[in-house]
Amino acid sequence: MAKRLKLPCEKTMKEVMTAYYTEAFTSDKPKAWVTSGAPVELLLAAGVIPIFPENYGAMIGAQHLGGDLCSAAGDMGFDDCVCSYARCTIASTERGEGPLGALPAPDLLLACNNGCGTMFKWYEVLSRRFGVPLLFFDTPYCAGEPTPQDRAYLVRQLERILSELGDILGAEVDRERLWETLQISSDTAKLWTEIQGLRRARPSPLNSPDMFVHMALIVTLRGTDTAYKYYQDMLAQVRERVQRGEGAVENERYRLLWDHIPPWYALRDLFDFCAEQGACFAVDTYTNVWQGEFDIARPLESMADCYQMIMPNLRLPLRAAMYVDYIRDYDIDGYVIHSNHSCKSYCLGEYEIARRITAETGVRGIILEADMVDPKFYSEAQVKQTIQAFLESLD
Amino acid sequence: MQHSEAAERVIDIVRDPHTPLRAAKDAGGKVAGYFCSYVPVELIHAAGFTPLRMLQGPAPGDVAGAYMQPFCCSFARSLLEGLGGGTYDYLSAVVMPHTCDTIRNLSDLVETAAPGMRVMRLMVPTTTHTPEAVDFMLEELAAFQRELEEVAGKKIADGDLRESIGLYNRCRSALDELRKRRPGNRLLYAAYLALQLTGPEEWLDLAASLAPGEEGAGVKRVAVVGGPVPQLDIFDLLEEYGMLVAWDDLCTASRFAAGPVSEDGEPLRALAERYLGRQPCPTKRDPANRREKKMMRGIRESGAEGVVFAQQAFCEFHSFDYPGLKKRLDAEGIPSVRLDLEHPFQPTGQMRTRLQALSEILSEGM
Repeated sequence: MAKRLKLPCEKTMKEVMTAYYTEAFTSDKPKAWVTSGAPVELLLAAGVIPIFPENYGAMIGAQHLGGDLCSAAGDMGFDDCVCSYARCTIASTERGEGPLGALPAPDLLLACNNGCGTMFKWYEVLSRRFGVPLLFFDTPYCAGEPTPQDRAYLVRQLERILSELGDILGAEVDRERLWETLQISSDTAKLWTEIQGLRRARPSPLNSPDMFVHMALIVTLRGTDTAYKYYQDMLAQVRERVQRGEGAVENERYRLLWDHIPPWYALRDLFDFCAEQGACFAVDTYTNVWQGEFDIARPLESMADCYQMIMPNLRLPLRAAMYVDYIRDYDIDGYVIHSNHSCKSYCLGEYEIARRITAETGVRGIILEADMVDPKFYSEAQVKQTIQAFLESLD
Repeated sequence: MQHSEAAERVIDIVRDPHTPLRAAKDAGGKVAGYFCSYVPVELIHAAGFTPLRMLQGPAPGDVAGAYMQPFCCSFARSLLEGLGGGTYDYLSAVVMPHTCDTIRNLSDLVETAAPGMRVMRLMVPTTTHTPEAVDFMLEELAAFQRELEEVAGKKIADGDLRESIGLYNRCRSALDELRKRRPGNRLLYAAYLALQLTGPEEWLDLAASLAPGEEGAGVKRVAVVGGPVPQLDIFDLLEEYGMLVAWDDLCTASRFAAGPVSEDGEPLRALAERYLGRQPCPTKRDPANRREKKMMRGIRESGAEGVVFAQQAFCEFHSFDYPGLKKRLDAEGIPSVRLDLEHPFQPTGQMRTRLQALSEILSEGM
């Protein structure tokens, strides 16, 4: 059995995440549930504890609780075409079940649709269940550089959210503190981008399952010193790995691209299976989403641009070009695309992207049908057989 | 025109909108397709195009399969099949607004699956109730107008746009009147659909000739709630179980037609305000829970005793709303059933069982 080679900082991460959830569960501070692509810096600057149901959905999946909770959501009337992050976390609140029980009830919600339209629907359900306000950041689908009307619309919304946040909390959000938070967030994203860049080394110092673990802080705590320090340490440790010529996968034989959120319930099993055959995922599209670097000289405009232009909110030609660049930059031999039953926003277009990658680079790949949390859409034997055959075809 | 002739023509338009539009195109006319009831048909019409709502293509096959996962709705898959397979090759362009994630992404796939098809995008904001959303929509409409003018090869004069707004307002009023005359499920919904599948001028002539229907004894009045329902067979099926649609919240019927565009003031702003201010569909933010409130009011005012949810299978947005709406109906003691629609439509045994059950519950209450 291939063993994932852990970085020393991973021990710190467990402590940090434990402290984060302990505070979320015990603190008297106001709490907001927030989508992973929303401008969390606004909440941090306002002294609100952000809680990420998507992160919790991943934990539910990884701890094999997704099947039961998705089934419970079905009993509540949410059918299988609804995002499994939404289904499992709604059921978790209803039943009080989950890796840590139900998440602490929110005082407010913050959602952004740059990942998908699912987000605001999910959060409207939550808003009605908890009887709390939902602040919403509407990010137009992006064809390239933001248009002046996109930017004006986004900036006016940020001003509105700040104003509504101040009304809810009974105190204006301190702008200076917001700019400082943005700076930390931006610096942290820069470190994360540098770490991603080191995966170009051969052998790659990090495999995608490593990134799926280490991404927890860039999602939940970006904008805090804790996350910044963590990624400083991680960057140093990954650099050392590269200098030592140490690969994340022993005897790296195939360098692959992973597309989309992984099936969390199969994370270890699936990626260990690949690693045993010398396959390392040297790049992935999902963990590269958190790369927003802000220009503090024009903070709100810069936030508008960064939050609009994340990958799932880009038109297909731009997305396909990003994939082609990854294939070339990271010297990739093949791609594995997860067609995630939960996620039309990210997945619809994958077939065409796959064709464009192959047409432009000659690199081939496979598409796996599954779901990120709900295991009923996953066939372990079929997935492994497909991967096995694909890797053999690369020899 | 006699009622029977007008009724037959309306049904024919729904059955096959393509033949007459192709003929019109061959005679020098222009047709532009559009994907959703958030697209202002008035602008398309004022640019000199007959607006054609994209409602049902052929059964999804090789084209759809090459681009779209099976977990995308058959409504979208069928339209891509039609666009890639030539059903819509007489269109000058197709307008694709931002609605759900599927239609948003589909706009990129159409350009590849149907090479040469001009795709015009309209970024309808997800938020509809704020001043900044209206201003953004206004900018988008202005950009859309410029693109329409480019494709049409002519400027849209202010007077032409006002005329188109007035024309569609008259059509909307005529639909309201027609609903009051209770012509029966099939004819009423054929009239709604036909307005989206032919020019408004011809449609107004036909609508004026449609006579009132007779509501038979023992009819059960229901509300129908859902997304696009382009198949008349569904309304026939309801009638088979003795159900008359007394009210609807469907994007191919009331959500398309309810509420006029203001004929005062600046026309683009009037369009922006009407389209964002109308009854929201599940793809738009609904902070005040207007859909549920409107449903309850519609049921009360129309005398509907039960609800049929008719939504596209795999539609995530409707599926998010369904449990809340159903819970409210249950709390009010109003029976409901849900039909998940696939294209092509086939009344399944499960659908019949559900409708039979609803019919029996409603009969007991009579």
